[in-house]
Amino acid sequence: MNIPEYIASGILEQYVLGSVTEQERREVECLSKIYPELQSEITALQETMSMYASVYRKDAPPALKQKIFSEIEKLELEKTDILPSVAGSQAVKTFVPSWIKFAAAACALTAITLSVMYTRQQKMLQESEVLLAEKNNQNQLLDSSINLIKADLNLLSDKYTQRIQLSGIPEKYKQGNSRIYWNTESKKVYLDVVDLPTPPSGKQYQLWAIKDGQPVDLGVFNLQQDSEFITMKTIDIAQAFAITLEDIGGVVSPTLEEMYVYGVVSGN
Amino acid sequence: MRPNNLLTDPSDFVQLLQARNKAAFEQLYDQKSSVLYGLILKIVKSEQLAQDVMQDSFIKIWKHIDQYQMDKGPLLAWMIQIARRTALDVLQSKEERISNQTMDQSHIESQSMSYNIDNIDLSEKVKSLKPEHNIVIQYVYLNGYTHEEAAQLLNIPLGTLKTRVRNALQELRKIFIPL
Repeated sequence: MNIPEYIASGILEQYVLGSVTEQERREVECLSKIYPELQSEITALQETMSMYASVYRKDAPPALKQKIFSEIEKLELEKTDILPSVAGSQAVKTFVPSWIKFAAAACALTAITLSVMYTRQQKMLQESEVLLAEKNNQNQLLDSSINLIKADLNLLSDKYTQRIQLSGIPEKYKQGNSRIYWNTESKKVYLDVVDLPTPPSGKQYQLWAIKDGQPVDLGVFNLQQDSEFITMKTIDIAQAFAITLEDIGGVVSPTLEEMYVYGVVSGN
Repeated sequence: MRPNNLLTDPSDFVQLLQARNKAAFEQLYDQKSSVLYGLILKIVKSEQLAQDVMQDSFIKIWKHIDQYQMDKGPLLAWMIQIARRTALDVLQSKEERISNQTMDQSHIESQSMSYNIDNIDLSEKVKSLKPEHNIVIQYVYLNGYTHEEAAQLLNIPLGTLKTRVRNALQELRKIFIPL
């Protein structure tokens, strides 16, 4: 994403003048949330146009003010669906800004060309949208899952996040597929299970980090119904990640013959 | 009678507005209505129309105040966008744009010189704008022509028009916001 080039193209001027297509408008708004230098350009241009507009300033007829505020009062009485922002409608009110942040995170994914993740996140967003629409009285539950997803999406656009592909061990499960999202700044590890066979009863999957040749336990997990990121234990240094099938609760050392997926951190 | 300045902190003021505090909206009107009204009048050219558009615009601002986000730019810019859009829509529906096409360049230039006496300082600055920049801003910002229409009127390629628009805004910016 070449910012100076984008600015020099004149798209921001067109945006501020309202001469852009719907798609261009969304793109500009999206990118300006990710790149603050774009937003400051836009703000400067908006201020410029505001000052230009004020060259023509002229007092409105005094009677107009009364007319306008009378109508506002009338609307206030009539329309009960226009609610003031009070704590009671907190969950609904925060919904709107969250979606814009989701869209921005989705743009970040496009910007760093993780196009696969983009569609996945879109799916997650859509799923969350459906949830929220249906379960209106479970606001708290939804808020926390939205915050989860929000945090996840922020994670994906974070420049410290490494994405490690774990591929299936051919002898065990050739189509095995999982992804690790490792924030090397916060050390947090998130697991996205794409394809792992359902474990037999009494068994559970365990994630390992390989640090300096030694396996480090990152915790056990269950296969989730819908695609979700699972928060695992943190790890500061790792050259590879692996998942083995162990007894429920996990074990101290991995059973190597029960390894299903494995992936190397890039640069190793 | 003007209400006193409610709050100096802009984000507090915005919060009041988004809580639909009446006094805050009155202050907003008192402080900003002349910018909106003057611009609307400049676009629609009729006092009667301008009053209707002003009313529609301010009601829209009141209705959609929740959609304003501080990190997307100043409140005034957001309000101006609503007012300008409403005014231009009225122009379109009245098909005044087509009748305005007969206006020649010199007419537009002389029109642009009739600034409000209070804005002598700003208007002097705008007068210093290069003529080709002045015209594209008039066409696109005040007359509501699309880039294509403006390029046609000026008999220049679309790419040239777009470049001129960018340069015009950059020049305006230097005038208003000196580094």
